[in-house]
Amino acid sequence: MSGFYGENLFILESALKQMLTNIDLIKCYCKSIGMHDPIEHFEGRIKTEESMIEKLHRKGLEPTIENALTKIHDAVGVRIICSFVDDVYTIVNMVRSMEGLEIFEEKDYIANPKPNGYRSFHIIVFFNVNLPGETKRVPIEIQIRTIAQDCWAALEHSLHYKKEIKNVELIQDELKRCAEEMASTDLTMQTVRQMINGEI
Amino acid sequence: MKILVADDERDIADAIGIILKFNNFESDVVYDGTSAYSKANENVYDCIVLDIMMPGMDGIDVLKKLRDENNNTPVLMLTAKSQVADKVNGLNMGADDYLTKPFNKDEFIARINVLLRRSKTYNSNTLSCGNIVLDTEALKISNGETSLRLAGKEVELLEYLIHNKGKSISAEKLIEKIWRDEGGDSNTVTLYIGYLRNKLKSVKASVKIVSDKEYEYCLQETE
Repeated sequence: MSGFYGENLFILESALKQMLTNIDLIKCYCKSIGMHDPIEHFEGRIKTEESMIEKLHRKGLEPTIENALTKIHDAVGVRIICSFVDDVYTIVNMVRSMEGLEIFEEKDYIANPKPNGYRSFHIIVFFNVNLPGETKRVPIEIQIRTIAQDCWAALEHSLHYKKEIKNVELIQDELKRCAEEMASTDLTMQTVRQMINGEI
Repeated sequence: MKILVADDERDIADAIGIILKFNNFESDVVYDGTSAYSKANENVYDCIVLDIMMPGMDGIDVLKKLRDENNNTPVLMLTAKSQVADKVNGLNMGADDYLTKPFNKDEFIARINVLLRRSKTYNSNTLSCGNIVLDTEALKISNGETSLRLAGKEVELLEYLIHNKGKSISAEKLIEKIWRDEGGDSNTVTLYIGYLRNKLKSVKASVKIVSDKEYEYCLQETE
């Protein structure tokens, strides 16, 4: 990996660490004021050299480090998993109000799911990374979704590795049906929480 | 169970009201077509008994208007006429059964019971309301782009609200129609109304469930 990213790897890793710290601080803040913690768990990764080069080729771009860091926005990726759909939007608002970043793009695949049933909220930010003596601007893709949405995405993703699936259309329809059932269950759980909290 | 009775012959209309009461049905009795149409729009009925020959709007006019407006309440047509053409006309306009006067009161009650028993299976698989379509067989709602699966009781509840769009329905009535003997109370209704509200919102429905009074629910177009 270090071969392709070179000395930029340190910048990407710093960006990832600082963003993960910011997210951890959201959890700590909620705990300190006795508020329900909207984050179930979170994780981050630097895109591997192989998948970055593959993505550059797929997008018809020269496999250069400049393209990887400017034209592609998920060299650094963070995923935040929430318990309830409402929590996803709480986190979206918290990200929007974070210091030291600029929102580049937002895609609400929960309100507007992808045709295959994928649901998640994506935000691409330009994050200011504090390094010794300088500040670097690094794009980070933040994916925010519920446990059920994450569970579905994990299963759907695992099928991409299986070659020559029989009955592709049937499988796609069934996966979409699962996505719609899980989305419904998410809202059922949220309604139950609203009832427990005396909100309905 | 509440039944609307419309007959311009007051003695007969009132007698039907008494027969229904004797058989433990509630009823509203009106004596002309216009009143029948407005009552059917104001209230939720489990069945409507309509005389054909009435001053102003006749029974066929009332029936046609109700069916055009998606009101699928079972209708029993009553008339002194016994011509086949009248029966066929009434049935083609959406009546569910036909009884010629004079009739036997036991047969009348038996036919009402058949209609009430069957009313659940009368409806088609898909129901449109605002920008959403409810598929009662596939158990899902869709706005054409986004779909969401619903649980069986959610489908029954939404189906009932769609059939009675614009009318205020009590939790008590919903328990009677949806939960029947399975046990359900006003909290169950509150929770299921909550499910539907969140799910309608999620598919960006142009209709919503409003509650102007506690434990009264009405499906309305959003402004």
